[in-house]
Amino acid sequence: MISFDAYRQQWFGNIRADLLSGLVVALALIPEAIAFSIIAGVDPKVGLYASFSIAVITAFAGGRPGMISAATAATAVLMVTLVKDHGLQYLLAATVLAGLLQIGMGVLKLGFVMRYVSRSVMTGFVNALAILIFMAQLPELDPMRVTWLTYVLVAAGLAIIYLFPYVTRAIPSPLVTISILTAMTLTFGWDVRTVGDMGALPDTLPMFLIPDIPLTWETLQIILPYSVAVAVVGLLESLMTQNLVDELTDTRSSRNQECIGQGLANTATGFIGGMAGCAMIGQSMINVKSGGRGRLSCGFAGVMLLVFCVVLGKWASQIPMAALVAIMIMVSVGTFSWSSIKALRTHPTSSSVVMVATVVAVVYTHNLAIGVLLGVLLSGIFFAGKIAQLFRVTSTISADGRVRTYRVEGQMFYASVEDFMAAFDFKEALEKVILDVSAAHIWDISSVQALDMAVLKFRRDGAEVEIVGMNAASETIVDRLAMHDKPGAMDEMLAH
Amino acid sequence: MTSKIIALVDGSLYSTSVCDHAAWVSGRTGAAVELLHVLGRREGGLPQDLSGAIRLGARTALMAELAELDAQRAKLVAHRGRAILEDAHAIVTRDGASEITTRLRHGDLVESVAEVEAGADLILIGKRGEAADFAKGPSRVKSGADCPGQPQADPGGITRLQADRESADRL
Repeated sequence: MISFDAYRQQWFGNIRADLLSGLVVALALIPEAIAFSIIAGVDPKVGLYASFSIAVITAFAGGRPGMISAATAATAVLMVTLVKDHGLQYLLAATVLAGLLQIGMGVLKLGFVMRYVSRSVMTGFVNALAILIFMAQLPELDPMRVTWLTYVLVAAGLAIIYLFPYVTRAIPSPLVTISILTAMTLTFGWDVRTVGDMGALPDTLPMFLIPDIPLTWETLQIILPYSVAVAVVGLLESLMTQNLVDELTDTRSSRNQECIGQGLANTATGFIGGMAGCAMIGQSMINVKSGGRGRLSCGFAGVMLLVFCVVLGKWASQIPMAALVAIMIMVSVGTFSWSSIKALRTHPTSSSVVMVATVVAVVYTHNLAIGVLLGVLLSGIFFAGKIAQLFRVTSTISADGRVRTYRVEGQMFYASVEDFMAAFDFKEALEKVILDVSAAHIWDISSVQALDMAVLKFRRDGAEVEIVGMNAASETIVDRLAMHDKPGAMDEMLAH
Repeated sequence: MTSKIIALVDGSLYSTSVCDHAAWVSGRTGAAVELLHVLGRREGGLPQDLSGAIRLGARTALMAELAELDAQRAKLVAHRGRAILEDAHAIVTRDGASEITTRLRHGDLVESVAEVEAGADLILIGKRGEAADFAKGPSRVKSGADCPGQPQADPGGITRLQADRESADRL
């Protein structure tokens, strides 16, 4: 735990820049929260209440100052079918349960599993997320549903977003886009889809409510799969974003505290009628870019978001969907890792395969957790394959041709067992076989069994078998290599 | 084990006094002196870009921009920090302390002291430093530091933090 003094510093160490960037973030959060509600198939107010509550609670309880959390696309896409089949109340219940699961994961200190998520998987995650955000905009660009005017508005919106910063960087360009497009739509009375067509906006402050669901075993069976997916994906994106903010600001932060913070935020959010969320990569980047570094920026963004919505709710319903689509395309493009495309040619094939497989799995299933799981599995297999190459068996025969010494060197584990068995010539009639494993590491039971099998085979053919150096080789088979308390153990292990 | 004194210097008026005291204690006890200068947090001077727009390659561009800014600032403050430490080193040497080491660290003052205090028997810090908000420094360091005993402000404007009673008596 950090001291109270350091915590206060995280809140008030950077007041002016935090307030300004919080304002920029709040303005950018509104269209996102609305867009993500629409993805999940609920009223915009569900996403807006969620963004308010998640932003404020993570500002207090999260582990990473300067990171922005709110309603996100990653969690929204997971809950589409839940809303469609069972309705909003089940979504709220699933949100509460997901939060409780996240708190549990934080308490159990599961933040460490992030170390098994390789860089390629993270890049795949980010790219997949960008593609999901973009794909979610496609219904609003469907020629069957919208008129040509929509395309013009989206193009105009994108032009303003990207070109306005050349005029001034003092005003958020997404805000300018929204203002101009809304004003023009109202002035000319264009018939385009607006936010108001998508459902209710908040007209009051959020109120405490208990999700209206039967508290039965059946309900749990319905929501648990969704809650687990939301909890896992939420933490993955949060910890990844945390990593990004850590890198951008060159500071460290507590992962387990972030897990607990995210969990508290989701649990509370379910009780005020909001949907689950997590940290946002794009918004956190906007925040850091705008100078936000402290907890204040995220907290202030949440509060201002609610103020804008309640005060300007009447106007917000007039915002044309085209403006939101333009902003979401900007977020999608900004989230996508462009350098990863260029790196496809230079990176090792295995890394590229992991990245692309992660993206494909996510886009196909709309579930980031499945993509990450596949990516982590592939990374593990590729790594095992690489390490299995650090293995060879050489042999020498005695002058009289009766005794052969096999010298096994390198890493013996499940992936090298096949090479191990193939290295012996069992057809050779010998009196004695010496297996020298003193330069090998035996990592698992697969290799022990392979060794046993080799010995057995030689014995069947009438040879006497002697194993040399077994003690040194099998030191690695325990689950924890107790090297930390033995000085020099590391050198010894690497030497033989 | 030889005892160790950590003296925090920042190039302000009080640094000289801190050095004098460190040398005095060292002269009487034979304790080693470690001069510590903490380069503050990386704050202020951030570019204000409130455009709220992120484009393709934003992450890489932002990373490069922030890293470049930090690098420029770090070089500047580190250069100054070295100079401060050299001055302090000269003063302590002149006052007759023998074993002197210097240490330059990035980060927060309170956190830095917490990180290095383990090996120290006595920590010396000036009452007030260069930075304006540093006025509360000694009490912030004290509340962060893992040691009992009251900071004592003496006419030299020095706050002493006894690492533990025993070493305080010994000193």
